Amino acid sequence: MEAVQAPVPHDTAGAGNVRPPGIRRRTRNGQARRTSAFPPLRGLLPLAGLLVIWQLVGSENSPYLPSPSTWIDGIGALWSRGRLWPAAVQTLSTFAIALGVSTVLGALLGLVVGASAKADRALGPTLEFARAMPPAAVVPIATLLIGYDTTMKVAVVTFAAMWSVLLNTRTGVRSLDPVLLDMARSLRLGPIERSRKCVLPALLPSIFLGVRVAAPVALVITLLVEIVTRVDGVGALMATAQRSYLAGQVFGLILVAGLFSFLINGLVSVLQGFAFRNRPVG
Amino acid sequence: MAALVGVWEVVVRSAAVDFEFLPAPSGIAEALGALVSSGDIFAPAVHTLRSALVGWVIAGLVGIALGVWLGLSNTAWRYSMASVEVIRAIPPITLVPVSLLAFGFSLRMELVVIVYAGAWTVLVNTIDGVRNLRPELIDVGRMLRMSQLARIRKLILPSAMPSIIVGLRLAMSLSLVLAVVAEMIGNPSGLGNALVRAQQALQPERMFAYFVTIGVLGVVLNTGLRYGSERAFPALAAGRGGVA
Amino acid sequence: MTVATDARRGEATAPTTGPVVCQCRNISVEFDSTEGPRRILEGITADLREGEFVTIMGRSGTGKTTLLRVLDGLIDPAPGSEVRFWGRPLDGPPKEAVFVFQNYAASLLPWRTIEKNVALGLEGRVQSKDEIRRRVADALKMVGLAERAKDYPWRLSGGMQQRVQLARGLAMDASVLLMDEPFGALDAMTKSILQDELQRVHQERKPTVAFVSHDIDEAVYLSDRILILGGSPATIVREVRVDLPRPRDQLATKELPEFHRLRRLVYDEIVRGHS
Repeated sequence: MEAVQAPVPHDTAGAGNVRPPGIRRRTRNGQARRTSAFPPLRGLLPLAGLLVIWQLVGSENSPYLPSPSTWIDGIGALWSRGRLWPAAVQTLSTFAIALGVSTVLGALLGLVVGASAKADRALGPTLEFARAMPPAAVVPIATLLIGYDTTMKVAVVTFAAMWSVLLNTRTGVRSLDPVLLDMARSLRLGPIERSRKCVLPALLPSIFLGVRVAAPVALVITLLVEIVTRVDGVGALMATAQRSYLAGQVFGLILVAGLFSFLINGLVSVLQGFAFRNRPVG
Repeated sequence: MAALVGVWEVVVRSAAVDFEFLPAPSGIAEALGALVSSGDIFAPAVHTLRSALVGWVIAGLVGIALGVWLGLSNTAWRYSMASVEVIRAIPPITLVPVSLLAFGFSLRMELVVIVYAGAWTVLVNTIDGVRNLRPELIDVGRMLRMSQLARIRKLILPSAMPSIIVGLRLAMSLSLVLAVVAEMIGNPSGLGNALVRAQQALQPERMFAYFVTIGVLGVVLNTGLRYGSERAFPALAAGRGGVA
Repeated sequence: MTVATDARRGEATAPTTGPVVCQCRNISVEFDSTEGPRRILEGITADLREGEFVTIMGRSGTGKTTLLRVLDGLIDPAPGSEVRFWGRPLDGPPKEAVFVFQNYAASLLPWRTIEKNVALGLEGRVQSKDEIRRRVADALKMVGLAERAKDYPWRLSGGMQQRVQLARGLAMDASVLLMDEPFGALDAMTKSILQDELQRVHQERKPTVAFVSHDIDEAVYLSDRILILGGSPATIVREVRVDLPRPRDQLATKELPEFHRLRRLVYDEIVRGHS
């Protein structure tokens, strides 16, 4: 019966602990679920209008304002030459691998730092400093140390994306109810069983929250690395198109990037709805 | 932290791990010292700092102005929010090639990217803050029969401040990141550019020195902003609300 | 000494003294829910007399808070309902009334000091800054928070924060206090202290008080009259007059046999649902 707006900071840079936005709604069985609240569709009018005007005003060759039709043409050209698909695969696979590594690494480190106050104090300042590093600045270092290949890409993206998982896991560990561990011990559960049945499921929402914030970051940094180093992927195509003064193609590739972003966010939402269908997340 | 650096030093010196281009911390410190004493570090650092700050200020003003308007005016919100959400999905980094194409290798290219990205962040957070007045405070406003103007001035805007500040802080880190990126590929000045040049010249010590400088800059800007906002709005320091 | 009027389902009988401050006639409230429209309140009719302390009680969910919010004009009742203050029909929250919210933390402005929070209600109405300052200082002194005037809300305990809300009403010289379980979230000790503060304020300034509570002891202790809501949609199922001598004392009054009798009466009605 009640719809309550949950106020939330929008974290487009994807750093730190952020609650996913949405309106809390009560379903028929009284369970509170977060649905993605998309504002009224008539809000798309300005965008649509802008595109129309742009199409009419823009010229084929202007570097500032290539008309939307050139965007489609540009993409089409890449597609027909068989270059768009492999690039998309490269970008998305780098993204996926890096996100996976970030999750595991971030969760492990978060676990260590959350569980041990000593470790937290020892590593804390270093982690803070590393976290504040603009990922872009890491790129030249990575290329010098590793080279121009996918490993380097994954390394940079992992470096940028794992902080969110780390911090959220750390928070999760810290807020683990000590009663949970006491209960597990009193039931005489062994340490492995304890971890598997009690600790891990209890930490899962925090880890997932970290992953949810890390995903857009991972995508953005993947693109960033590709644009700057031109190793492969959609970002590289963008940089090449820019150098060839194919403005329409650049814009078209931006749309492709936006599409990736949209798809990934949707996938994460679906995953969250599925994995946590029986309990509230973060 | 010191321990980590110490381990690093030992590892490299003992050549236990041999990355061809991983310098020892002492080497980095040396290079940094050299840069400072020769004054070479100041020009690029100032350039990056200035671009980030100027871009951030413009982004902030634009974002707050638009955000307050869209937040307060229901009609405006309804007829534009969906567009905002769609455009927001496009990562700002992708604007760099566009800006490069349109403005070439220049300061303007750098600023355009920074302002664009920062403004969206501030805009979205401002709208959020303005539109999400706590229901209890809505009630208080009605109970006291406050005029619309009084409500805006006394309830809505102060309540929106934390969100606006969050937006500004996020925009600050974004500004720095994009400044560095823009300098790395588009604007031949600033720390980003210096970083890349050191890398291309195969001078790892200098490169790391610039790297460290960028990090320091980031920390300084973030802390400065946090300190400034807590001084200006003491209520924020009370741990009120979740700040990213 | 006491008369418990047994007005069963329907009207509360009018008490015998003083002018009528608030008249409710046939108040019904309907909400939209996912299961369709739901009637929360049906046909509530009652009078509040000047200086009376009336507590509205009932089980959870019977719409006590809803009724209170209708009285303050925060909720529009269904057509056919009528609320009048001094004979005037409601046009939004009445100027003479102040609503004290259950969630005290959330109804204070965190970015304002205590004294500025108390001043909030006066800013639109009183022009002179000196006048505002004087009234705020008086109100804070009355609730015992004079030394905390320059603190921010988060530094105060729950009980103190609730007192700030009370002070807000006092500064506004409100003649009607609508209080929604104001002490519900406080510990027992603080509760007793605040109950007595409220009693003292009521003795000195004689506002008309409509008080929602879950706590039977509290209701009998504080009130002149208790309205018990029940059923779904809720109506007034019983009205209980409380004629215990004033001023009342946390220990002495609660030992009186009459207190116990009234307690049992109310308890039976609410918990066991005797009708």
